Amino acid sequence: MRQFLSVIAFMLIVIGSFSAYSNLGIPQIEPAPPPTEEVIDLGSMDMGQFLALGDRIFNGKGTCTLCHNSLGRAPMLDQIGSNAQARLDDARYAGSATDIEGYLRESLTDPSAYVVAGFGKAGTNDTESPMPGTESGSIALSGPELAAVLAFLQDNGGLEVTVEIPTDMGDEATDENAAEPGEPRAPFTSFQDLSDEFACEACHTIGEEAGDLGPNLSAIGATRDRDYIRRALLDPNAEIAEGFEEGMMPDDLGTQLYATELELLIDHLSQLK
Amino acid sequence: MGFARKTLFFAAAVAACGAGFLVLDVVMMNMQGLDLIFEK
Amino acid sequence: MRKTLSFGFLASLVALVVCVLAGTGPALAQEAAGFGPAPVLTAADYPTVAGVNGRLVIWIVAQLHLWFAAFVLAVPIFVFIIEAIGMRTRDKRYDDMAYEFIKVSITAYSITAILGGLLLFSLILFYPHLFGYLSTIFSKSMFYYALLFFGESAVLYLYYYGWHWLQGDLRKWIHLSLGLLLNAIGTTLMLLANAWLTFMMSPAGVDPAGVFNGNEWEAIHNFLWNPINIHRFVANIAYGGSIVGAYAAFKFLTARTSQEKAHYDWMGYNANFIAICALLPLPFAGYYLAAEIYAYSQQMGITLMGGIFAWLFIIQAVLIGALFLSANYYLWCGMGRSDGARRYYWAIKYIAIVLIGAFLVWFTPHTLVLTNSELKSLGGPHHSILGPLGIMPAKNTAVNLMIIFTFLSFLIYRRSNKVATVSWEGMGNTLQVALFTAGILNILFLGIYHGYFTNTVYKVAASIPQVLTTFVVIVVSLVLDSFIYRGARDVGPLHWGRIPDRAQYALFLLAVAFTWLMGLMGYIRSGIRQHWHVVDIMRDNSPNAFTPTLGYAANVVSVAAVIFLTLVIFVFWIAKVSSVKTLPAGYWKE
Ligand code: HEC
Ligand code: HEC
Repeated sequence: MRQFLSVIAFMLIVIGSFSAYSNLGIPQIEPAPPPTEEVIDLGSMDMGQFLALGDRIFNGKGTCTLCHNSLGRAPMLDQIGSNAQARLDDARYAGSATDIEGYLRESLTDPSAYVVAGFGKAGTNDTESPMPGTESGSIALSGPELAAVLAFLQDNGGLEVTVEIPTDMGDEATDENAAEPGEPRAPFTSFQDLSDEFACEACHTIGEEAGDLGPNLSAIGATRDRDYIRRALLDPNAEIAEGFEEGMMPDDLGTQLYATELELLIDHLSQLK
Repeated sequence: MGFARKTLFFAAAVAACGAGFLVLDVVMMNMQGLDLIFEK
Repeated sequence: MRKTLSFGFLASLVALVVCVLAGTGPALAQEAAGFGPAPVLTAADYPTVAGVNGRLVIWIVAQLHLWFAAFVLAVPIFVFIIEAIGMRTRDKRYDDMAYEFIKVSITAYSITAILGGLLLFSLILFYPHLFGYLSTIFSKSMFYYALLFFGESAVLYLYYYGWHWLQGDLRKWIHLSLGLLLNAIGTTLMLLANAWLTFMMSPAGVDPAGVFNGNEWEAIHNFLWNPINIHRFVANIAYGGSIVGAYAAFKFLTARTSQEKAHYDWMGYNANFIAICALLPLPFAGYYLAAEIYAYSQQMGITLMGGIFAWLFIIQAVLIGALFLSANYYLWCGMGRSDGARRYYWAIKYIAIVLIGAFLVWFTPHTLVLTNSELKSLGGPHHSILGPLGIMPAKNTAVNLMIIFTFLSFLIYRRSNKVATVSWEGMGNTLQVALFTAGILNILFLGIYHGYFTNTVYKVAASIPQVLTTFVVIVVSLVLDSFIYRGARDVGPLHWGRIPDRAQYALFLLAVAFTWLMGLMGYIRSGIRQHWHVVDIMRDNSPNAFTPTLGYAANVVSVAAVIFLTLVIFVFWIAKVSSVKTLPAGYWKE
């Protein structure tokens, strides 16, 4: 009986320590909840809100950043402005698009129509794209959502936005669930909230939080003045901090931040010494 | 066998096995359409 | 009379199986007959029953069913092999051990069936639409599954209860054939069940709306079916070995006589041997599965290897490390059975150092790929101490080294009781050391050069010669060894039973870590479907569609594992009770 009990105790301790390690030894990340269709009121939406919607879908429900990120799994989309025309001119191009908007739309609805060299599925010699179609399957964007992403892609790639805000929701959405108007968000009033919202600390070390994709900002006020910081936020690619890559730091803060928020960021950062 | 001869024998054996493995590497990489040594 | 009856029964059973299998062919070609699209559900389509959380019930019951099923499918595989060895060597100890193994699995068998029924009921109760959809597609295979289950039971009972009856030349052959049949049916059962679950991950035979084209074979033979089949088959054997090992360990600890101790020590050794043999190829089966998932859908592949699941592989690394270390530890302790082992003790500490080093490399997190919100909560895509050890080639190198050194432990164990008599022993040994040296150098070269100085294509490609190097080292040195030790003399008789009690705890650790690891991997296999019942085709719209955190999953697995172990202890206890006789004085009238 003593043997029996010590074996039981041993097993419980082993199981308990596995559990404890999984709970305490590794960070507990709350996985993103299942995506839902955006509630959109197209009637009262201006271009800014439409672009912001595209941005949200691009970074959220669309799961685009799963692949389109700096790790080289897919082409970087902030360079699409300079790339898109080259794709259309490529001798390999066999799709049906004639302009850049058409190319972008085709990239999303029929990814295999043209596969960027080097990114095709293994063994298909760049004839089949690993990118899923975005209208059906696991991403399943609605018509207006797709349009918003397209507008965002153009804007984000430094192109002129030619996509128009659609006037109806398409077949699948009924009037009932398109109720609330897309209200503009309230401005943030603390640095921490702002930093959380825009994920600064995912890339930067600021105080305790540690990110290593961008420069450490814990004492940025000591070496940089307010003007520099303002430029770094509004036009990050104008001057690249030494040892870091261009194009990582979001370059659309200017359109995303309220003026008060921008000042708040600059105030806070310039005081970090 | 004296120590020196033993060492010599060992070195020769490692070299022989190593050569064998190298052949294996080359063949396996070639089968995947690659050379053993990477060229930029 | 009894004999004819059984043969008649057997014949009709075989006939039934043949009919069923033959019937599948034409039936599969049948035309599609009005299949509808996959149902689109709302939260209201998921019944709440007695206020319990349906997903949790399904999760735990399915896991328990799987554990038992893995066990009862694996045991007959190696019982068959051990019985065959016994027949060849005419060493009755093997036959007795095989019988004892199957005896352990027989009560487990009925628990498996009960849990299977419970799983079916729970699915119908909590996920009626999902079950309905799957059963229209897999109608035939589900029906044959039920029939095969009857066949499995019949053959199993015949195999077990007929063990002592079917002894002697021809009869033994009949018995062995029954074992083969048992395995054939059991494996077929597993393949069918695998088809249903891989369909949910990589659906085939349906259009994007989920309309079935009527070709059930296409749905069965979906993209991930074979990768899962291979992975499960190998893992089941390792798992079965580890559970039987725990059984032997417990019997060893509670044994009263030295004879009993010797017997269970021997049994534990063999069970551990089986578990390790199957454990060695398992990482490769795992890589193959992961690669196929990636090939099927890059999105699913990234979800698997990146995001929150990346951390799961760190837990997995800890568990696999625990498995390797405890298996090696058991071998080292086992060397005490031989008087000649002293000669090799010095080597153990070096093997231990390499194993732990390799373990630590494996333990280093992968480069993490995340969605933005996950990125935010984690603080960047790289683990802060990540460094260059997080990439795949480093891990491949670590695994290969771990396998080579585990093999070395085994080689030393084999040698510990032997003294070679061939004249070229010294040269042979030098050759063998040279083989290991060159092999390890080659593995390091492939891992370091291709891992750090080339591009992704090379990194992946280099893993193939790496694995083959490991393979060559193992095979060639086994061959060399058998020549060196041809006609070798024994140091003395092996002292079965001369092993410290703590070695048995290594066997318990092996069994528990295996159980828990299987549960954890069940969570990820199912979890990469995310909010889909059938990926991209049938969405999970229940309130439980979200992916739980790792900590939560780990706790569910732990609870399930405790229930499982309780049931296993019950099974072992029952096996013991059946042979206990109480003689109550004066109870029965004389
Ligand atoms: C599973 C990974 C994956 C996901 C998720 C993904 N993509 Fe892609 N995408 C790729 C790959 C790989 C390519 C390059 C091959 C090709 O041209 O199709 C690509 C190409 C593109 C292109 C053309 C780029 C060029 O330089 O020509 C656009 C535009 C694009 N994706 C947009 C998106 C958007 C928007 C989303 C989210 C709704 C998205 N992608 C989601 C992998 C992905
Ligand atoms: C995707 C990663 C990423 C995110 C998110 C990000 N940054 Fe950056 N940031 C960078 C990189 C990389 C650099 C260096 C390259 C450059 O100068 O553009 C940088 C540069 C900077 C600089 C200039 C530093 C110097 O010494 O030149 C400042 C200031 C800055 N970021 C502030 C912020 C703030 C505030 C936020 C949140 C609103 C933020 N960043 C979010 C990646 C990021």
